[in-house]
Amino acid sequence: MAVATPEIEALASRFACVRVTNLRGFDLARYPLDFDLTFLAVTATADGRILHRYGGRNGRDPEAFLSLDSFASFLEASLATYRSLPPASSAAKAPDPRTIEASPSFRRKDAEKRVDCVHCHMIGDFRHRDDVAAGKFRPEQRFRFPDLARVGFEVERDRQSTVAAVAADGPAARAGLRVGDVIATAGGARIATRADLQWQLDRAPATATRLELEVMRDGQPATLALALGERWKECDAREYAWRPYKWNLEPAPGFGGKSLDSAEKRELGLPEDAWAMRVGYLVTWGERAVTGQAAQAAGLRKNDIVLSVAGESRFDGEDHFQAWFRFTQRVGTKIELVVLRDGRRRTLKMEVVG
Amino acid sequence: MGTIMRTLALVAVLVGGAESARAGEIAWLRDVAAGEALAQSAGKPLLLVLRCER
Repeated sequence: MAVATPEIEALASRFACVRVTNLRGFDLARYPLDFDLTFLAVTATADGRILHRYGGRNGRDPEAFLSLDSFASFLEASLATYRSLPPASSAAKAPDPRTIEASPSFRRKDAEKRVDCVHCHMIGDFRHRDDVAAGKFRPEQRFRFPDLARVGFEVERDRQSTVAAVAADGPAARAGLRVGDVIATAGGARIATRADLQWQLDRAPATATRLELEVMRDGQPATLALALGERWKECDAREYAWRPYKWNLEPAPGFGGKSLDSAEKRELGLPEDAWAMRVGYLVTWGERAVTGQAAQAAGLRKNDIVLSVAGESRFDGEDHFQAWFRFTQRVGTKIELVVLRDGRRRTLKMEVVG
Repeated sequence: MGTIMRTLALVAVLVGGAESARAGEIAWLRDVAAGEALAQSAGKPLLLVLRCER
């Protein structure tokens, strides 16, 4: 087992350290986090005031935003913020604790068979089911914790408050943000990390029209206002694909499987640059059985090679296909699946159900 | 699998003892309430680490 570097070890020794391994009993109100995570750290006061957040990922690389230097900086910034905070006011009321055990869908599942270990992504699953059951789910809820790309900039991996890139003609560029600017605050909150920035984007409502940044540029403070357009939080299926939360969304195709590799495609006489997926499963069980049954009724079988779905074939892999289907297809429509079976192409007509 | 292994390797270096509760000199707790109590009594901030193999 590797151990932390001496620098991180020394910094971490100044914290009360907790490795959260089970979200049973975890206070979701006190620690609101992006539970679609690979690695995430959060620092807080003993009474639950969040200092800074660290981690997150993108679809290309689960470690895209992680580094030893940035983790050390996150710990240092957390200590500095901690020292600067006023003592907890006895008048300040912490949010009422809310654990996953309060979720009706969790309680049902737990009663059927005890859920000993609540994984991070399961928080989103149970909350989604609760919202749908209560008629509260709104499509915009899909877009939690928007990536910085939504406002047109990126920060350095090691120094996560320093602007590394600004997209031409994006909100950040139009506001005058420049490479090298150091972001001090966003929406009035102190920024030390990329995850802090994502939290501020998450907190801003979808209807927000501007986000204010305070930056240091060449040692001088500057205030910039990013103008946010309509649907500014939304991303496409490719960017969204890595999120486990996508599996909750409807409509689902009712089937899936692994994309073929180059050798498999060559063997079948398919172009190597084209997407092809071997059907590994049809969802004919559980809450979504109707979706797999619709695929079955259309004539789809396990081991069929799917070449296109509703005319689309530019998929990066199964995650992308599954996210794309949920983002673009509508219940009640009929779509064509082009499949290869026994060396012959067939076109199947499938109803999208949900 | 390759991706997961790389992530685990970096995370292990990032937080070291968090994965074993024994390695290194940090006493990693597994219970948030115990961590909050320790933070309160020791006058320290709290560090929570979460990892999921995805």
